[in-house]
Amino acid sequence: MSGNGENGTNLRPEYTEEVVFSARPDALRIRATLRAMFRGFVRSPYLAYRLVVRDVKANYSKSVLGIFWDLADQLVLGLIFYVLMRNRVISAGQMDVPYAVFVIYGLMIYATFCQALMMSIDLIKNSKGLLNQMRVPPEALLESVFFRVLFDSMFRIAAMLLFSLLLWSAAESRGLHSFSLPGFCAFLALYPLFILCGMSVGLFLAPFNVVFSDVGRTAKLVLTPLRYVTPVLWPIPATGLAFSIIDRINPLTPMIEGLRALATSGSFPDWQWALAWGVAYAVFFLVGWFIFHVSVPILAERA
Amino acid sequence: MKPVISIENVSKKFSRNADAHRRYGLSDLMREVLGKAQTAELRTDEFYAVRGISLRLDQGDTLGLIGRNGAGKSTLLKLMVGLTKPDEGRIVLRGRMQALINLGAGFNLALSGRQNIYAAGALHGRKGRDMRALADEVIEFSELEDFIDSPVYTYSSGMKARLGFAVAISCNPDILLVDEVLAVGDYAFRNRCATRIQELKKQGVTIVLVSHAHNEVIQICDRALWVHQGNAMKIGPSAEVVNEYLGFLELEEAERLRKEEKMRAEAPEKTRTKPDKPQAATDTFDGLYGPIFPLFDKIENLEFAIKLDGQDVTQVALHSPITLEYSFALRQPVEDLNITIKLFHKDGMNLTTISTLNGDLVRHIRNGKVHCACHIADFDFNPGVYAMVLAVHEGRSYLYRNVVKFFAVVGDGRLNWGIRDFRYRYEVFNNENT
Repeated sequence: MSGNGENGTNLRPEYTEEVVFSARPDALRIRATLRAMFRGFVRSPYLAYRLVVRDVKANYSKSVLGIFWDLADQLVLGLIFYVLMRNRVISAGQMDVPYAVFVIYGLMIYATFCQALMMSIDLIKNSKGLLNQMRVPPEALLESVFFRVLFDSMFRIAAMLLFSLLLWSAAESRGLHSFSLPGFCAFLALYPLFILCGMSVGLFLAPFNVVFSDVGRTAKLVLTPLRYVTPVLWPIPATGLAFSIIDRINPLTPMIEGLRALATSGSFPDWQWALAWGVAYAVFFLVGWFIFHVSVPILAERA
Repeated sequence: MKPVISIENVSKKFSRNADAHRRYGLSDLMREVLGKAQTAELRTDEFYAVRGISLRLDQGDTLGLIGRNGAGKSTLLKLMVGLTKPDEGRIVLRGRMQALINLGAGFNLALSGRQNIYAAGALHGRKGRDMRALADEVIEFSELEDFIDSPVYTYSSGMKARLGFAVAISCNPDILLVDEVLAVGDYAFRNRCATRIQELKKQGVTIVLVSHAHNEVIQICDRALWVHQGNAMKIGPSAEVVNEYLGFLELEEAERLRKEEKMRAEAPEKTRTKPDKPQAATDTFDGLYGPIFPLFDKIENLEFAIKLDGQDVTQVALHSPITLEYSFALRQPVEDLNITIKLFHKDGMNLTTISTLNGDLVRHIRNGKVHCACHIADFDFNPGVYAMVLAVHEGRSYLYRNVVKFFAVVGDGRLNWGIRDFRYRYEVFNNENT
């Protein structure tokens, strides 16, 4: 939003603010824009929380099973692949974790990424009614996506924890890893950062999706096959040039493999590679946030 | 002291073409991100919704924005709220701003009124600690105690508006921007809203009100800005600006009627009086001004005129002496002839009827030509557009009934409300300074 606090003028003792809406490009007022982004970020958590509460209550107001339906897709898909693997229709090769644990972690983490990305991509479009009628800090919308994904992730994390604990002793007896308490705590700490990874891509694309809805549709289309070349349902084989290239350039691979290994064994393999991607995501997120912030007053009316 | 609202040469463009409008949005965004100023030139299909408007409002000022639909009032308000970015100029707001653009903004219909108060309260800047107090305040003001835990989709539009207004107004703003939202709800609630806005005005809140209710603008606002085709036509004391705007509307309407009259006069005679053929232009009035019987199989050569100083006119000044003159020929003998002239407001309200039954004026005419004139010494209906309907009866049967004239009444510079403007003499007894 182009409104950026600059100097203050006291009208009432408890309130001091000057807001400027200018035709001058925000990129030329970079300090004021960054300040407005920061102020929006700091002031918006309560509003974002209320927006999430409102949406969650509305979503599940007529549902008995509620959030279960959001998990059902992943659980059914996981069950299918577990049955296929158990009956040796497909082979996952040698693994450090029980396949059921592998697949449930993969599916849940991947679903979190997809949700963060798609909610961010559709953020301006889905909020156009609000943005055309009220002045809402873009950061409140951004934080509402984060909180909503985090809320849904709690149930995904609960499902992952349940499988880890159920198969813990069986896995140990076979020399496999299923759960590590310190690792799982570290996993919980890193999980929100993973949500931001998904949001970074979505925020970057959100303005384009307002003008061309093909952007959102393409993203949705890409995410389905991407699941099969990412270690979600099976480990990506290290054999063959094509697979090794995909494995290396896929920005999700080190994240998903690392988080899963961290929660189950307490180790984070290939952490340098994951860190490098993490830095790239962070840069992407900041640029995406800036573009999102300046695009709202330009594109909301056009959504 | 710095102004609370400062608008400096602000312009905003839109495209008439929806696809182009979205595409331009992307190029505008690119320019924004790359730090290039927006072009002032109009691209294909673009027009200025707001053009070069500047104004300044100090603390406690109240401004009414008036103008026709599409004049740019709401766009200007949205620019003030920051919902859209200006293409030129800048707007500076000092103080906590509250905008009432849509009273149901932020509501989720599946949730109860109470749940929506919390969400809408947060959208209006309220925080967690005082939410319960806000909810109590809103429930009391909106008078929805019995329905507050029902889903909002069960509310009537008036109830939703009451809830929305109550939430927005309870957030203690320094600047209140209102876009034509006070017209909803029942009369009692509208009155409460107006009273609350007056209270805020007394507290020094700066108010900008977009409204087509000109009385409301005059009562609430000290100043008014008349916007026409994106341009500021006049800014000044609200009564003065509203009056000039209404005068402009009257002249515009009178000009339209004059053109229509001219076209009708220039139309071939047969299209006006051809027997057995309805007049297409008047078919659409059926219902609005009562039943229409436009056939000329019973009468012919109908002429109707509103005369002022002997001239047929389509525009008369308030309190003018006018003559309604008509003539037609009966195509067959008639036993019981009556003629009524009905005056309608253009919106369809029947204001008065003049009938030849009173005085038994024309019943004796059985055939041949009928030619009458009805003199009105003081035409005191308020400025606006009116329709004359002429009905020719035989007993209770219509021989003809149709709209024969539209005309405009223009004001004399005074403010007018309601239907008629009596000539009166006023005495003020308590006029001593105390």
